[in-house]
Amino acid sequence: MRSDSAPGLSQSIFEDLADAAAKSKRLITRLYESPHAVQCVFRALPPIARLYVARIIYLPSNQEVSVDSFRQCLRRRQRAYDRHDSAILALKALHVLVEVETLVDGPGRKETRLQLNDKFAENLRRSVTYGVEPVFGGPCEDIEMVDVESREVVTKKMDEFSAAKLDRILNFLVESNGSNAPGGTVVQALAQVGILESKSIGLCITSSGFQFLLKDSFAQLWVLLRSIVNTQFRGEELDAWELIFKLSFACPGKEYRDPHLSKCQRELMAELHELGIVRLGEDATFRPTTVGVRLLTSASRIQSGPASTADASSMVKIAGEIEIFVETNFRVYAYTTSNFQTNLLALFTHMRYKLPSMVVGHLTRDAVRRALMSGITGDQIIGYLNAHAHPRMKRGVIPSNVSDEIRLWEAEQDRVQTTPGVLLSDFESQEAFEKVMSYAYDLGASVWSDRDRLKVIVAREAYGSVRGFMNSNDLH
Amino acid sequence: MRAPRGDFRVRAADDPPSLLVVILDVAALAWTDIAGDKATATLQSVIEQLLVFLNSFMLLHESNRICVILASPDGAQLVFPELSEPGSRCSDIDLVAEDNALDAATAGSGFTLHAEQTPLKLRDAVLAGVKEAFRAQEGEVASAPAPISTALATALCLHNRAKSIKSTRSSLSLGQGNGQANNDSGTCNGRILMLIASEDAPEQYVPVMNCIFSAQRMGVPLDSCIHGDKDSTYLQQAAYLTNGVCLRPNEFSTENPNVLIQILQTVFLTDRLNRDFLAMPTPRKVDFRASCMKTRQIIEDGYTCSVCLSTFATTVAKGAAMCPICSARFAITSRVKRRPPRP
Repeated sequence: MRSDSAPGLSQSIFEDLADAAAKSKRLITRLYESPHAVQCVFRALPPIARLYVARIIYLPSNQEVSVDSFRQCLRRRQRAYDRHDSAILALKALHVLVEVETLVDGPGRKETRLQLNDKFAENLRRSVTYGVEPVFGGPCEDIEMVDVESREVVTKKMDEFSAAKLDRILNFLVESNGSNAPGGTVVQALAQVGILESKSIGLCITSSGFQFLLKDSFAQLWVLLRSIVNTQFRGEELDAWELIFKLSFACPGKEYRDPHLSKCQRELMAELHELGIVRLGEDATFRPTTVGVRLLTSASRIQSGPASTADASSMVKIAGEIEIFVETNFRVYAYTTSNFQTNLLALFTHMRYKLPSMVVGHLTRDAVRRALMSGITGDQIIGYLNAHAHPRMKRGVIPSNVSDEIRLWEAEQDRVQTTPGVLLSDFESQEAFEKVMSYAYDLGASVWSDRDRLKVIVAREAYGSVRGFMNSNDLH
Repeated sequence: MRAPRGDFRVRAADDPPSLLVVILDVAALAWTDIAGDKATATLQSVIEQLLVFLNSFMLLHESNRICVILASPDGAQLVFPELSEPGSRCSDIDLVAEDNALDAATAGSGFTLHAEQTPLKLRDAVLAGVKEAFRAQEGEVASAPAPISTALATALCLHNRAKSIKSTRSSLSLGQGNGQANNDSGTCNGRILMLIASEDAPEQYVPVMNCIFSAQRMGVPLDSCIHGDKDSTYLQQAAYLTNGVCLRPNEFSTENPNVLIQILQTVFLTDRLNRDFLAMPTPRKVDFRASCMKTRQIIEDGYTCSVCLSTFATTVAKGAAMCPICSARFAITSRVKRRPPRP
């Protein structure tokens, strides 16, 4: 699949933080005041970087260490060195490790060594030694939900709630008839990252919008959340991120009430409700959903290919399952109950039948071309079909004749180039036609001409000068 | 141009959650041997450091799972995750709940994340378990060393549980007969860490070796940290055969008990995937000597039953001998001369 062209669609919060850290060191120091932020940053580090931090966190009096001492612990293989380099880079970018100049071996000889960020180290030590208060003052209901069944019911309800919310947003994108719009500022956020574009007929989905649709659910939510925070809460990002950091340490499904939320955090809470990350209750209470709690860590990991679905524990499917068969005769059978997935598939297939648990369609030239013209690329279509291929399908990919044909249809588009032009016809004489023709030819503006029928098309931008030439020479 | 920075997106496959089963030796006699009258204080400090280490482990990955088993002379007891009281195990509902708790603890279901209370629950469970174990040992005059094999077998059962749940789950989510499940079940990222104070018990040789071989087959590394003064043959071989790490930190003593945390954080926090990149301490020397199956003594030369491969320090008897393990009969006519040891 094509790599994401729009940077807004692939950035993670930690890249944002690293950018912010590059600009101002004060900001990142303020961020590390919060133990939850520290824990989240720690979890988002590359695996080796986490172990590095764990190794030096209990060194006496925050001793500085040289990079070489880390390097010496590696096995002598290139892959180990690569990981080491990216780990050190990440640690420095997030100011977890700061460079300090220390004197070694007498005066004059200085060496750059690394030291843990004081605040970061302090808060990390606090979080492993029972020093951190529970988030949002702990859940309201002290009573543990003793019987497993009622707990499962709550969890299931919450999952359904977040699935419904995301489903609504995605359906809004694919249906694009403007009805049933999601609440809050979600639509604005979609427009801001370039997923929706206002055209004459209203809001339309763009090419990068299709990339968005093909992402996994956590990544989708993440894009929206990031956009909302960066636009609606400009200047208060730190406050907003802190709320999200805290959420990932909450207990999914439990009821919380926190009177200490700032105004901006309360506003953000309403947006999170629309995204299905928390569920607001009566009396300023809220319940975080499983999706919300997992959001931060899942969004910072790349799920690669269909193999990762095997690890069901780390993936919560929100947007509905779909399993697709594609036959060599371009027929598509898709097992799904999700409305959204059906609509998404209908963007590039000609739908024939809809059954309770299955839809049948045809990959026709017209349907695929319609999709191609609205900005989806052929590779995206093939990628989508492959990613959701039914496990029983041979080799897990769609037949090669189908994927080749989709690519050919895509190439077909490039065969025709359009140049806006103006048709000049009904010349009085052959002579007049020849003169205009040669003038246009000299300008390089003649797009097409037919001597027999005395017709010529000139490029639109050159039409003015051709018109002027015709008027001055009185040619018609 | 932007300054270069690390790639913060980690591929999920490179960062799998792991399951850590900790076996803590709580034999009062062994700790008294090591620390004298300061035994309780030493054990206390070991537990405190172990808990910090476990909290760091939970912080490493949001889906990391922990089980703690206490090995006391009375047997092995799983103290975390907490199950229902042993007395009330009559009804079916409790068994189901217990099953669910175990499933969640080993394989992690959709919603088992580390809630904030987990570290607190873990601390309470471990401390209560240790107290209980010590009270049980009080009355006994000569308490035996802790049976490592029982604890090891329990730990392996937990790993096996995690593995089977994982493979059924992946076959469920991917449809049947995909073959994916089989590939995936091999990569259960689990470890067993043993904190041992007791010395090797000769009568444990066979069960411990059996556990080691099953761990090797399951691909579960057996790490161990020995607090006593003597090296343990069993644990060295366990680490050697399963690609684990066996350490007997010299620095560890009653005067300076706080070095344990640094060792735990540096060596034993490293999961299986990262051991490919980070160098681990290598054993100085592994004692491969086997034990005699009859006298339970460690032997350098011995006799082997050609049927069941049991080793013995001496031949059983002249004439028609019988292997005491597999009852195979041998006609031994003369004592085989031992080859003189090579210079």
